[in-house]
Amino acid sequence: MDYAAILALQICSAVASLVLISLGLAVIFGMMRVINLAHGEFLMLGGYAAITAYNNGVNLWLAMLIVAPLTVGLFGIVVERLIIRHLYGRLIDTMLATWGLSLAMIGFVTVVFGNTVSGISAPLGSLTIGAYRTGAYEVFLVLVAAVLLVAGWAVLRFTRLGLIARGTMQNAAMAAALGVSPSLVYAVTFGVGAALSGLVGGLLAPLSGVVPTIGAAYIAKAFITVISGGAAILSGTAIASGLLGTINTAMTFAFTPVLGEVALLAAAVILLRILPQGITGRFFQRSL
Amino acid sequence: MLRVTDLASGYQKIPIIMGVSFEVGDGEFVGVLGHNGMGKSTLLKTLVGQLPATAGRIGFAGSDITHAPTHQRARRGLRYVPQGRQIFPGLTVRDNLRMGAAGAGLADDVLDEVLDELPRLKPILGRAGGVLSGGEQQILALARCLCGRPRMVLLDEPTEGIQPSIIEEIIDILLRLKRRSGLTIVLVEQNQDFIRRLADRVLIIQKGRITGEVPPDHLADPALVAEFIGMAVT
Repeated sequence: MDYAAILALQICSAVASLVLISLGLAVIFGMMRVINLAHGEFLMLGGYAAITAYNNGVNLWLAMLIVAPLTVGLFGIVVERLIIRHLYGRLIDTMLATWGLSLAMIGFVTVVFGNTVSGISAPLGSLTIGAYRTGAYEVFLVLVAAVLLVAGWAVLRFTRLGLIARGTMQNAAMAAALGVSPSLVYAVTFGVGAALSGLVGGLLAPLSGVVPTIGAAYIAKAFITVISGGAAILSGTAIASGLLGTINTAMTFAFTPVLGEVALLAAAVILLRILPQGITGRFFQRSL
Repeated sequence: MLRVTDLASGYQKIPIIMGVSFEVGDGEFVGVLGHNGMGKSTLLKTLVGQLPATAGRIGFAGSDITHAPTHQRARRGLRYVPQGRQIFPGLTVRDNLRMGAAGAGLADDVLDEVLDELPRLKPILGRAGGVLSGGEQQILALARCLCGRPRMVLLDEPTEGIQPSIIEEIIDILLRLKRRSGLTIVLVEQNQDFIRRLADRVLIIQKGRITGEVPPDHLADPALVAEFIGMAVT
């Protein structure tokens, strides 16, 4: 029973981890069709923002939940205004530009912080389940992932901002003819996507530590999850994370972590072979 | 309300509209009639800012809007119902209407006023825009435009692909709007009967130029139609 509980918790944790690292990318790619190859570096920047704030006396929770998303969100808006907005509709060009940006960010952060691991201790202590112990902070991250998904859905479904974002995503020229500024919507959307990445980078910093190249550890999984999820930003990310996270954890428990990663990649390849448009390209097409 | 002077525009380096000048007064209903490919839709796209003007000037309500972005023109009250309707397919009818209000910064209360004018939409408010018939989409596109409380509406071929019974309904709606609210409307069409029944005056467009103006009654006379624009009566 304890084993089943800890396994369930680990599956939830793996699913939440995929949701968290993918959400910012899903918002930017799903709403704007911009492939942000600097997504991993946005996460990295969030981690450094949280650690730097904490080391300078800011409360840990404020550093992770406020400073990190605010810093990366503002940085994202600057990037959108200076680089991305000139490249809308040019998929390859945006990929090249964001790849260049990711290299520049890695170089800059390496110069400032050095090529060493920076870290902070995970708060909340540990949680005992029978004979097993796990970090309570991991449970907190599961809750954060759930809250972000529900809050994102509520904003898109019930608020005027969400309505404008959905309308602009479907037909930007028509939205403009109704009085909506697509340029402003895109800047805000990119900023929100970047802020989500920053928030997650800050939240993951206590678990993984931060190095300038840590983005590379996130970017592949994030892309696999978003592409597997398909067009629906939130439900696609949630379903793909659920599927891939479960396979990853089950195989890790049954065999080894390496085989768990292999199984995750194999599952994504098979999934995209069967459903080239992703899960929500075939199912739940009208979901958000 | 609208003053267009020597307007020119086109796609890349291909000129479509060349030296177009005309005026539309407050509360006027002006038709623009022409064959396919004569520049009717290009003219409207240039007026709303979806295509840049390469020369000339567009004045709207006393301001020069020649180089204003599309959303700013819409916010000033110049609204557009495009050819093909361009309904947001994944949004419900209600949300399509809310987009019309949101773009103008208006509260959703305006939906009730518009739905009272266009009650056909009331039973289908929860349906997705993409699954509606062409006629329902056309009425929705018009309603969405009205939710922004426009000062002027630019209508691009609203009868295209629409069944005759709905065309009659659209005529009734537009006549009602003209009578009650004094809305200023520019309508581009190929359907001569439709334009004849609605417009106060009709501009003829040929090869990207306004070549003449005829009273709507003339469109009932095949000989005059042939003389002015070489079109058969539809």
